[in-house]
Amino acid sequence: MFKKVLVANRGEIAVRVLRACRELGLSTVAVYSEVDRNALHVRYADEAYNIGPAPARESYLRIDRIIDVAVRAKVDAIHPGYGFLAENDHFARACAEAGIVFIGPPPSAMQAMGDKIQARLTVSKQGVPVVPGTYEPLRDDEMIAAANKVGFPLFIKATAGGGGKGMRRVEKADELPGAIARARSEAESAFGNGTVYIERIVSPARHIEFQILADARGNVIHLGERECSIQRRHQKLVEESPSVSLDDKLRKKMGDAAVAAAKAAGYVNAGTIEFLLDKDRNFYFLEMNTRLQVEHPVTELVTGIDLVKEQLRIASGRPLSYQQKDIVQHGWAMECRITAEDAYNGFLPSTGKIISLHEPTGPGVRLESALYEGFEVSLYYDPLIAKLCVWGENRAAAIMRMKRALGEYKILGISTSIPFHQKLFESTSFISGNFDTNFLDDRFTMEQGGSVESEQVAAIVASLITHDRRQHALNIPPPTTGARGGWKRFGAIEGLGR
Amino acid sequence: MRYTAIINDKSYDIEIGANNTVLVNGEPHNVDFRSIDGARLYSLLMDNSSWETLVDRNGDEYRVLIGGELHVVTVQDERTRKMAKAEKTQAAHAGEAILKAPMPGLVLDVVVNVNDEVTAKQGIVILEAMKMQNELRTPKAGTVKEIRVKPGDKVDQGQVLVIIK
Repeated sequence: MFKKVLVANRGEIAVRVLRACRELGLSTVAVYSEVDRNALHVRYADEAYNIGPAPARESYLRIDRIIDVAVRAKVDAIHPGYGFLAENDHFARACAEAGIVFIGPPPSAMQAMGDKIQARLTVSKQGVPVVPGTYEPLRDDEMIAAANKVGFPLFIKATAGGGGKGMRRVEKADELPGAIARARSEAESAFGNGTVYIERIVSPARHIEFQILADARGNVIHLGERECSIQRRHQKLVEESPSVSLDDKLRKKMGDAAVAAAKAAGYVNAGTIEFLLDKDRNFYFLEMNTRLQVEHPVTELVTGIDLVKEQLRIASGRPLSYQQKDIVQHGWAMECRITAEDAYNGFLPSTGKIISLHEPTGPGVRLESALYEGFEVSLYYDPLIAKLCVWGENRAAAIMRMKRALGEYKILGISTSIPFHQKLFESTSFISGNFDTNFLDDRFTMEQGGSVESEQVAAIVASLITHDRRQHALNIPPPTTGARGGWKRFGAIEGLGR
Repeated sequence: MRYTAIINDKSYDIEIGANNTVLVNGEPHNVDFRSIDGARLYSLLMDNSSWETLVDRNGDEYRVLIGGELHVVTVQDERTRKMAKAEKTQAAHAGEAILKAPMPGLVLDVVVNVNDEVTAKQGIVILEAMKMQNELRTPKAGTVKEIRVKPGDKVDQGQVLVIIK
C-alpha cells in the first residue's frame, strides 16, 4: 500500500478521499487555489500546497503545478476525485512519467472511454447496444448531413464531454449550425477539445448506471445499479440504488453488459457504465465514466463496500477484495445533491458566506460536505456544495428518512437546492417511482405556496418582522454596523421580563 | 398595530397586540417569536405549535420558506398602502431597453460595438455561469447606446450590461 497520497481536488470530494486515506493510515497532501486557503480539505490534510489563483484553469487544472507539488512532497500516488483532471489522460501520463501512481484507470483505457466517439465503437464491437448516432469526428457540413439521417430531435455532444457541458438539444435542422458552434465552443473551453458527435434522443428513458470495479489482473465485477433519472437539464440531482425499474433478470443482463464494456476498454480501477433504459426495457450504452462518481455513496450504502479504499487498493496493485458472488444489495440508499442554487429562482447560482449551518445527523444519515460557518461559496467552482445520503431498509423508509434529514438541514447565507428536494420528496410521481429523465424538466414545477396552515404562519411571521422593524425604527437609532434582526434583541428583552 | 399580509390574492388581517397575542382575521393566537441566528432563521411557537422559518426581506416583500414551501408575503400598513398606490401612477419608462445579467457570472464575449444596429432577440453577450455559456439576447431592436462590460468581467445578477435605444 502507498504511504502518502495527494488529492488533486477541492470541496466535499477532496474531504471524502482524504477520509479514506486517513482510515487506511496514509499521509495526505492537499492542493488549493488562493481562494481556498481556508477550505476544509486544506485544513484536513497533513500537508497543503498553494497551486495558483482562483480560476480552475490557473490552479486545479494545472498539471505541471500539481505534479511539481507531488514530487516535492514525495507522494506515492495522486487521487483526482471527480471533475477537474479526473478524466484527463494527459494528467495520468504525467503522473506515470513522474513515477507517481495515478489512482484511476490506465491512460489508454481513459482515452478509449473518455473519447465518447471511440467508446461507442469499442463497446458496440462487444455486442453491447449503443444509442444510434455518429461514430467518428465530422466536419460541420458532414454533421448536418448525418443529423438528417439520425433524425430530430437529437443531441450534439462533446466527445470529451460529461456533466452536460458541450451538449445541445436540437429540435430541428435550422438550429443545427448554431447548436454545433455553441457546443464546440463550450467543449473547447471546458475540455480543450471541440470535437462533437450526434446521438439520437431516446425518450422517455431512465438513466441507469452500473458501478464497476476492475483490478490489474483482469478481474472485473459490478456493484449493481444506480438510478439517476432525476435530472434537471442533464444535471443529476437525486440518485438511488437499487432502481425500481430493474428486476434480478434485467439487473444481471445489464450488469454483464457493463462488465463486458469495461473489459473491452482494458479497464482497471473504479468506473461507471451509463445506460439509457427505454419504456420497453431495452437498454443502450451511453458512456463510461472513468472515475469515481458523485453518486458513489449510494452504492457504498447498499453494498457496504468503500469504493475509495478499493480504488486505493487496486491502484497499489492488489487484487479485488470481492468476487461477483460477494456483492449483495441490502436495503435502499438515496442521495440528494445539495447545490448553491436558488431552487425558487430558476436554479440561479447563489454565492456568499455561510453564516449559520445546522447539519442533519442521526440513524442512517451520511453527509458528504466541505461547508463550515464562514465558508465563502464563490462563482469559480461547481455549485455542488454537499451530498446528503440516507439508507433505509426499503425505498419507503429511505424516502421518509431523507425527508426527515432535509428538514434538519439548515444552510444560511446562501440559497440552496434544499427546498427543491423537499418538494420532490412530496411528489407522488417520485414517491411511486414513476419518473424518467424528462420528469423534472417537463412535469415538475417549483410552485410557490403550500398548506393553508403554513401560509397563515408565513403571514404572521412577515407581519411580526415588519412590526418589530417599525418599533425599532421609532425607538432606537439605526445600528451602524450589520443588519441584525430586532427580534433577537426583542427576544432578549422578553426573556429578561420573565 | 394592524397589518395586512398579502399572499397571492389572499389577504390576512394581522393585529399585533400586547402579551404575545396576535389576532389573525380577528381570531386570537398566542405567539412566541424568536430570531435564532440574528438574520434569517426564526422560530415561532403559535399556540404551542412549533414552526421554523427562513425569511428573506426585500422592502416590504418577504420570502418565507417553511419546510420547502415558499410563501411570498407583502406586508402593508396604512402608510405603505398609500405609497404603493402612488408608485403605480408613475409614468412608464421611455424609449430605452436595458440588457441586465439574469444571473451572476463571467462575461466571455460582447459581440457588438456602440452604435451597432441590432435586431430583437439578437445574441449580443455571452455569459458563462458555472456550467454553461449563456447567450443573452437583445430585449428589442435598435441601436447599441452603451456597453458597460467587457470580456473577463465578473457581473452580479441584475447588473446592467448593454443599453439599447
